[in-house]
Amino acid sequence: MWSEGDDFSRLDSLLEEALERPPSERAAFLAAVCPDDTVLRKRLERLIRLAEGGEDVLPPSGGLSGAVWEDLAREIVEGSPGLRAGDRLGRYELRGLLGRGGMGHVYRAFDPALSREVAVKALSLHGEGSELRRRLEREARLLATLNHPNVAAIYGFEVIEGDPYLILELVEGPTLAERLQRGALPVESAVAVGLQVASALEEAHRKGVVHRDLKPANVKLGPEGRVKVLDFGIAKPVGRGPEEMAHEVPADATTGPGAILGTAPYMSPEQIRGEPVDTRTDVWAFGCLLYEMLVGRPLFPAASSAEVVAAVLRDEIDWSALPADTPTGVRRLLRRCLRRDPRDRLQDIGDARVELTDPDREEQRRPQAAARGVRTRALLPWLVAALTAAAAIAVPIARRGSPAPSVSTARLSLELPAGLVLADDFANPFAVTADGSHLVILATHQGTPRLYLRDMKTLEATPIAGTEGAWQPFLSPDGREVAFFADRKLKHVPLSGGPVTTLAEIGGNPRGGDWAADGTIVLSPSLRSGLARLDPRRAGVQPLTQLDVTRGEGSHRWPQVLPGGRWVLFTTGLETTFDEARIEALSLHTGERRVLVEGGSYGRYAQGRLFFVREGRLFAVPFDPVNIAVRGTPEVVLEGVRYDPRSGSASYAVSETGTLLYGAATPTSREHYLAWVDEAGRLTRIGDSARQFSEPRLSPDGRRVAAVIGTTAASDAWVVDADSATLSRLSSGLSPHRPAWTPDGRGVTVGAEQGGRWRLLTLSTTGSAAETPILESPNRVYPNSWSPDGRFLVFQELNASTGWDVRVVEVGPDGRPAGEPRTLLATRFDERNAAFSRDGRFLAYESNEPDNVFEVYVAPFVDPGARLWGTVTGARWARWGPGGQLYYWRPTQARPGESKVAEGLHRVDWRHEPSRLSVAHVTPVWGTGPRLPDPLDRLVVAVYASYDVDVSARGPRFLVLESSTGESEVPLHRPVVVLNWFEELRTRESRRP
Amino acid sequence: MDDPGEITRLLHAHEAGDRSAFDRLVPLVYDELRRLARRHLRRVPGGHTLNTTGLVHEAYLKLARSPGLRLNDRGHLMAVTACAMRQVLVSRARARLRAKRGAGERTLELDETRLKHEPNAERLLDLDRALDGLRQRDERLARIFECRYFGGLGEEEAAEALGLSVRTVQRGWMRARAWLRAELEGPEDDRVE
Repeated sequence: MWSEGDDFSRLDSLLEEALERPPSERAAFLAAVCPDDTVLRKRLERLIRLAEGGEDVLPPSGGLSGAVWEDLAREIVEGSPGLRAGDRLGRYELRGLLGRGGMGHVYRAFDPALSREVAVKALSLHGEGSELRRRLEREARLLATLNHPNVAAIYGFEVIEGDPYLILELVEGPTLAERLQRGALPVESAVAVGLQVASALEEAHRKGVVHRDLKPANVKLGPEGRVKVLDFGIAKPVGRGPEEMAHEVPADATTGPGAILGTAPYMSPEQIRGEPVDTRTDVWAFGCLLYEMLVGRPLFPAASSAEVVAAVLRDEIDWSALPADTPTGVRRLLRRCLRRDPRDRLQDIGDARVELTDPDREEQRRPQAAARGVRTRALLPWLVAALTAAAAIAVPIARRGSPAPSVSTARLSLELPAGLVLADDFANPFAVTADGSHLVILATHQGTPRLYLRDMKTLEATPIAGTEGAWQPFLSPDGREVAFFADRKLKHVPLSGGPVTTLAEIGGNPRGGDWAADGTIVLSPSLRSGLARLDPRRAGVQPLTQLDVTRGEGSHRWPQVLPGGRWVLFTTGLETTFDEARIEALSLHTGERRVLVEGGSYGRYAQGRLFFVREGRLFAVPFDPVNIAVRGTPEVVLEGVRYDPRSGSASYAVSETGTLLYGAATPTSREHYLAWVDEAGRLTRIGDSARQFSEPRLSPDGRRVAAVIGTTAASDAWVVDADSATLSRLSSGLSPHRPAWTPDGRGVTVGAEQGGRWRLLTLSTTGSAAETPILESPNRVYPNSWSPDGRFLVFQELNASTGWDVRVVEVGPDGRPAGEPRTLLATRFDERNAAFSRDGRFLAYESNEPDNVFEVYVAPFVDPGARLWGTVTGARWARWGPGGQLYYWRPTQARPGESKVAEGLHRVDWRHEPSRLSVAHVTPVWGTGPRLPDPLDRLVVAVYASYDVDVSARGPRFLVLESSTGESEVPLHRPVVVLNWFEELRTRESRRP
Repeated sequence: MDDPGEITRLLHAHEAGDRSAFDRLVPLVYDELRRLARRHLRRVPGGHTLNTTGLVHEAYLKLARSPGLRLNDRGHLMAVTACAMRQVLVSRARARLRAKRGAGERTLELDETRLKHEPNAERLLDLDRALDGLRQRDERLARIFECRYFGGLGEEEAAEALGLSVRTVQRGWMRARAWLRAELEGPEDDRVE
């Protein structure tokens, strides 16, 4: 809708002029200013209407309250405050700020209870999960047991007013880093400090604690020569990447180049590679520290973190810089500490203490030659990987010909500059040039998304000018330009910076594009469209494919032009989840389509492999790009890649040279608890194990739950005892949908697909393993509800021309059909999720007729088209309560403009009359409304998961899925780069039988 | 907000034409907003009694006590506070969106076509994106909108905050809403559905 430059200004000033006039004079004004430009006039008329519009998402008077505010309130409660001198924090009196660390501020404080000064470290866990908090607490408790004169004590971990703090020993005096600014230490002093540091480490290692971030800034030179090591283990909670040890990166990432991979020069090679670290990492850092004390400058002085990375992995250590009077024992110790392969390194820091206690002692160790040989061999692959990272010479190496040296796979965590968050809502934020030399990353800084270019040579990230508001980047065939969508247009800009060129006007909801070698661009212009092609030399966008709605196709998206430019890979979204989407190829010459993968989305081709995503896992399958054929079975190659199940997009990009860039996700997040919620919003878990539950359903007596457990690809129906939480399985490899209890509680009816046909069948819950088939259909069918007398099963069927329809089949006493199914509701809109009232006289169901917004309706079962009652503010998933009440779920903003109605569960109470229903009142039960209990944040009532809500027969409580993480997924600051990834894939493939 | 003088310094830098000073101010105020809100929420369980407008005003009153602040700076500070409020809200909306997205994959139906009818969080992010677009075309309109919508400032307050006449703010508010609504709805012939 935005218009360019002058156009905007012109429209805006005309709008202003028009608004100045009384409404009665505006038509004349418009006629005068644009007499024959009807397009302009239409736009102005619309803007005037919108300027005067009533209450919607933009309220007339400004300000926010209600649900949005309540969200905010929660966020604020979870966050962490800034504090200042004079403030009181629990029993501590703050006396000033000591410093800022990676995890939060450190304050000087006074503890009146023990009458001593302490250091209080606020841990900012912005958006971090409670799991991290618990881990941190556990770790802090462990650290508090470290009692050693050279370790700055951790007095405790306290949660004060909801925020976590570490209470630490306050150590006065300069840090070793401050001291080193004045140059090297005399050898004896260096040895004395080193001895105390080694002794601190030895004690920590004995307790199983690894420091992980030993550096001069963490060593305090206290009074009387007493050395204290600070920040044990805290700098890096378990399981996070090496980037945690980054130096502070430049704060303003948008105006200057910021190093993405900030690397402390004290990181061990294995830390840089993202490998697990152990006590030997501290040994390396100790070597660096000792070296620096003796020489007066860091082991690997370098201007940029990129250089440090390269140096740590590769550079020869300058032994000649050591002062001449360095004792032989110390030289030997340094050499043993600074071996790049941890297996060759000094294994026990205690040995360092021994060595330093008597540094002049002569002693023969292992023959030097042998040790060196081991070291060289171990180093070689690393040398290559480091060069690849630092200088992008993977291609020259390959050209140098046979036999190619064995290149190891390397993983790097990229730290985005401070303040940047990866922008991967709906669409992949990554692109990689074919040669892997440059990465393009879409990230948001203070609310503005921009593209950032990261050159693998310099490891620096720079914003690409003119890409504000960009989305879905893809690269030109020569890798010099990046194309992106912004402002309802397709644009491109040189990677090196330069003018932004607009290629075409596109709608505001494109779904991917790719640039062919002949200069044309294949794209998916909107979220429910086929593919289209744009030839920049000609005007306009030409359609390439049509959606086949009779086959349930909802969209063609995420295109990639295959090498040779004759075929395009794309994802076909179906009426179900994107986990069930198809990867297809389209011939640009003949229009032929070939299905390559059933059940997956976001296909990408590189180096003889087709990659795609299913349920957050990255799969690969050998692919022949000439004959356009899959050769083999897909295998999981990466667990946990960020994936948007609504759009089918996944956050990854692969180069032809095997550079993989991706956003890591936790694949465990789909495990949930079964739980009750009462009307006060209180949660009570059923059992204590989280599983991949979905579609939970209560038995008629309310004592058992039927649910599906598993993934889309492999799931089964189970019954869970609501009291004992014991599980029993009803099916085996069936992948059933929508369990519906039979009224006698002896069976659960499900829908399932087999060999392209759908079936409704009843599984026995009495342990007899019997299956009773009910019907078969070429269409997708889901059971909805049994009539209380067990005579009728209402189900929904997906029809190619009429969408979801509600149908019914009559069933005899043996549970088998007693007649042909009949249609109850079929319009070109969707009717679905029907539920019998407890007396069997009424059906509640959802329909989006006539305006595409779903509402819940109630009608007599005998004539369900005759609606007796319906919601008006948008509603889903009706359930009848034990007393005949009706409950329904209302998503937020179910209808545009209706923001005043709460998201959540509502109850309808009826005034019963013989032939019709009339409403006594509708009451919100829980959700986001004012003064309502709101358990939403802990539930998996994601708007899509309708059937996870049910009503117990034993009282007003609700069966729900409780999120097992309990917290939101963290914003991603650290994408991962894998270099030479194909090497790892080849190894994996060769291991396969 | 470790150094209250920093706010004054940045405000003066902004006034002297350093446009980046505004953006550097926002994080300082952001912290203050959160701090204040926390205090309120501790006092008033449930927190429903305080709305964004109240919070912005209170944060402003507190920050306006920064030493060395001139009368002129106070208006700017109000605008900064509104901008910080926007960021607090948008960041929360993102977190909420991610939380929802993590859940319910299997039972998901269809596409994001339904987004339009779904949570406030998403609407807020759309609005944030649209507002960035407006800001690139007319910074003043965007600031007026930001002050009034996110800061909950009245017409007079917004006028003072931005150094504009009340009339300009009134007209700007209407136009900004028209543009943003148009952007959020998309072209009439190209509705998201």
